[in-house]
Amino acid sequence: MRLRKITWLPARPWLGAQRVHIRPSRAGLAFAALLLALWIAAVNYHLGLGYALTYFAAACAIADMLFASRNLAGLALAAAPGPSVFAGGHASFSLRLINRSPRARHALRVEVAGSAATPQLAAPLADIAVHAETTVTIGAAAPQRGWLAAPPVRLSCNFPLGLFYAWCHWQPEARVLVYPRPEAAAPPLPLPAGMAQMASQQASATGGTLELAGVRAYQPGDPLQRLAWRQIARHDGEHLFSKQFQPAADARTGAAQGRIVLEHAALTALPPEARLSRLAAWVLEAERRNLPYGLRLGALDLAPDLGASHRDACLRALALHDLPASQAAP
Amino acid sequence: MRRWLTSLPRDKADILLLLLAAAMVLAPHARHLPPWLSLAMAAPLLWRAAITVRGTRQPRLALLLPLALLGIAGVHASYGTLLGRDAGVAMLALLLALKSLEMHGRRDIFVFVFLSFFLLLANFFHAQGILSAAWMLATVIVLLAALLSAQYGAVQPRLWQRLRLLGRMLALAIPLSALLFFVVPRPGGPLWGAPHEGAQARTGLSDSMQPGAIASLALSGEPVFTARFSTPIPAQEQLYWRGVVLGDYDGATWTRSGAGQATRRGQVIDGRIDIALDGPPSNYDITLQASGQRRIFALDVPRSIERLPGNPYVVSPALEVLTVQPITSTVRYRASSMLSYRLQAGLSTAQQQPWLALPAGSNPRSVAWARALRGQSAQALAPEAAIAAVLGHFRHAPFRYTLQPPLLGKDGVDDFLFRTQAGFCEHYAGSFVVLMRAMGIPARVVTGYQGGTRDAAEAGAGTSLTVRQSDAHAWSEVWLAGRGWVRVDPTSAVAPLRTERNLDAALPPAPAPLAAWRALVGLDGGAGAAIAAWRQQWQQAEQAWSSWVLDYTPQRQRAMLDGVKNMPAQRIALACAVLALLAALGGGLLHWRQQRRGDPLDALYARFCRQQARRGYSRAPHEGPHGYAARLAAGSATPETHAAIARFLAIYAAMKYGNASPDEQLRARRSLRSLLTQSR
Repeated sequence: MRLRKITWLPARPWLGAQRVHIRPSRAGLAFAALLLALWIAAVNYHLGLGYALTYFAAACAIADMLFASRNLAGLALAAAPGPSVFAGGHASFSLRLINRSPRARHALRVEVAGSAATPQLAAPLADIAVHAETTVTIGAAAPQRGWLAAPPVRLSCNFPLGLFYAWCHWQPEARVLVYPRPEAAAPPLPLPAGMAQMASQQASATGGTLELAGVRAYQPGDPLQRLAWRQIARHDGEHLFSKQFQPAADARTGAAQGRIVLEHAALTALPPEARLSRLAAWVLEAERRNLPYGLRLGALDLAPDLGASHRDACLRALALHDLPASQAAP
Repeated sequence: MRRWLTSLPRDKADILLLLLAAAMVLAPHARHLPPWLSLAMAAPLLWRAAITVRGTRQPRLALLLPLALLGIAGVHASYGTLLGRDAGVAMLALLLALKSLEMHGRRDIFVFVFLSFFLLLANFFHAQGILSAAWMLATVIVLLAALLSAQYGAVQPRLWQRLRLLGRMLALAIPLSALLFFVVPRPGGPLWGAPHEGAQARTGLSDSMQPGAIASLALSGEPVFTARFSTPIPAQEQLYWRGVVLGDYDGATWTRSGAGQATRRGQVIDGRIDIALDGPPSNYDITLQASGQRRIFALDVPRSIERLPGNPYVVSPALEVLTVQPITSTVRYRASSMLSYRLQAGLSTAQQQPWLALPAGSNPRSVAWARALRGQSAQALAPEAAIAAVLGHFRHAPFRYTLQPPLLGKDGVDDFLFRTQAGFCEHYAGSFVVLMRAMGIPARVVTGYQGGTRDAAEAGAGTSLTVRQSDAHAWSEVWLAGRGWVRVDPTSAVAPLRTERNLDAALPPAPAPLAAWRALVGLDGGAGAAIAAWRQQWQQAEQAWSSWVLDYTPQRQRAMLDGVKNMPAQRIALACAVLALLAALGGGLLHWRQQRRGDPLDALYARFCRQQARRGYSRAPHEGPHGYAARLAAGSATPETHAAIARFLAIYAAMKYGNASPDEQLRARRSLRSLLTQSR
């Protein structure tokens, strides 16, 4: 069953009975055929009790219809966003199904329309006891940065007899912030000018604060003075390589006192999204290496700092940078 | 055992429940299927139960398929066909049993349950009594419980909780199905074709009589014919509509004398029947429904019957009227009958012989009893006295009249007379004739219809009668020298109302509702009286059952609905008012319950607070349980009460603000309730 895009879904937190739809399940259709067969047998053989059995079975199916819709109706719904994720990952949402009635709800299914690429995720059946609640976690692909609204959800059940399928659509009101995808194999952190100079001088003289970590393929944005000419010449002369440095063990303390400022404006050579990706990668890298970093992003200027909240603030700023007003609103 | 059952993993318990349902569905069939098939059905169920309990693998298809084919071959060997009703039922039963070995998913469970429903219906081909209905209800409940159990998600409540949910569904379904049963219109006849089995007995009298033949006719309210009298309608107990005369008996079945022998019919057409008539004739028009049979009916004994156009009739020496062509459309004829007559008063000894024949060696006990009753030639009773003695026996021994008599053995008459003593007109007529013949009195069985319902609604009220299949009856005729064939109806000795009024009145009037209970507790009569009273009550219930459930035909349905339609306005208004009142009461009750049933934990807390307020420590609106607990601890009470109060509030707070599982909550509520009484 494909979940269509439904734009008019209300986000009401309460499932009125009128919002629960119902139709016979496949087993229910088979049951209808069975009822017809029973009825014909009762007519053809004049079976008084045959009629009784047929009508009794039919009445049980009707009761099943009522109970199936009651299994959903009256649920209170609430949604909470999961942690922020990076683009390309999976965002998660916690859906709280709250039962305020004195009857238990059983075997509820929560289905999500995923993106076109991923098949829809079917959560296992959820049960909610009397006066209790259940949390179901659903996932959704997060292809791009910005706010990601929770996908529309279909709550459904076949309970109690499985002859009917009751369902309702729900647009959970929750959204997750999707950070830009960190660039894979990003170039090294843009160390402050002083540190870099010192590094280049000392690297040739003593191998002091920065030591050569290796050589890798050139990437746009690598400083020219780091090109590894010897490797370029030794290879075929067409591919470029650049040297990579990392602070030497004794230089780390000095570097830690340095202040890295990640500037969006400095990365002019890259397309806009790639710039954000690189900055995100650098934020993570700086955080990992414990180097205080600041971020300059358009009008925004975050002072250099360290720590999870600082990192989140930076990533948030990157995620929401230059988005249309409707999406960027907090 | 109980612990073992409750500790069973859920999927196993589900399967066992399903197997129980299948066993309940198949059990009544076992009585009608060949014994090997019953065993072949039980084996897979037991096998599957063993597999389930032990947790071994189900047999593979490569093993099941040959088994299924073997079963089909067996059914073919037993029934000679795979089609038809009985073979079909046998196949379905076999299929259900084998399906139990091949159940994997939820879908298979649906298939299994649906198949079971069909077999449940097939069961009604054989029995439709009250007990069958009760068994059906129990089986459906187990089936639905099994289906329900399969629908749960990760959490499956206890069996009693599942049954409670089912009970709530049934509380809705049962009244609804009763309404559907009585109101949904029913088609009159079979939708296509005429089913071979069962139909013959319903469309009319047959040329033979076996126990059960007329009883099944009696369950059908189809009209057979309508008689419009131009002379006064004779008394009800004189309305014997002669049908078939049965003279040949093989120990089990009565058949027409020399049925199918053309010679005898040839004689009839030539010969004259010696018959003397007197008294005023009864004249009437009969509108006979198409029956597909070659039989027309007239009151005993017909003087003249108008010829049917294009379909001449012949009259047999026993005064049966047979048409040459089967009657395939509604026909109308005028007839005249004499109610007092003398039929074949002078039969020669040779002519008496056919009516004295009994199969050698059958029913020895009855024959001996009859001979002893009549006595030896010197002190032999006169025929009239012998008849009176037998009828007296029927009247005084504890014979009873029932539509669902117990089954009889090989010597049916012996069984009936000395063991079961319960039966329908055919049992009484058949055994009476056997006894007469054993005494040397020529006798025969006559089947036809007795009575009829006066159509009061018609203009010129009281001039016409409708005779239905349920009026089918069997009686006997004995030949007495000088008086000819005399009608004797032994059924009326047991159930006089059957002939004076009609079938519905045949059973003795219902004892007062409490009579059976009073008898049971020994207020009147002893244990024997109690049993008799219960038996009567049961008969009454059976009678109501057959008229309301089994014989609820389209005609009856229409009559009932018309009755509702024609009810006086006052009564309809009253009924509506009562219904409205009931609905209002029900709604009020529901509302009240919903008001009361909030969170049970909160309700307990509210009770606790009220209790403490009575002691003088009412909870301030801003106080939480902990603050309240501190204040109460400072108050005056016995140490035990203090402990109970502290515990109550601690548990309450833990449940209210903690993260307890439903099971824990249930237990906590229980202990809260007990603490509530201690903290008073």
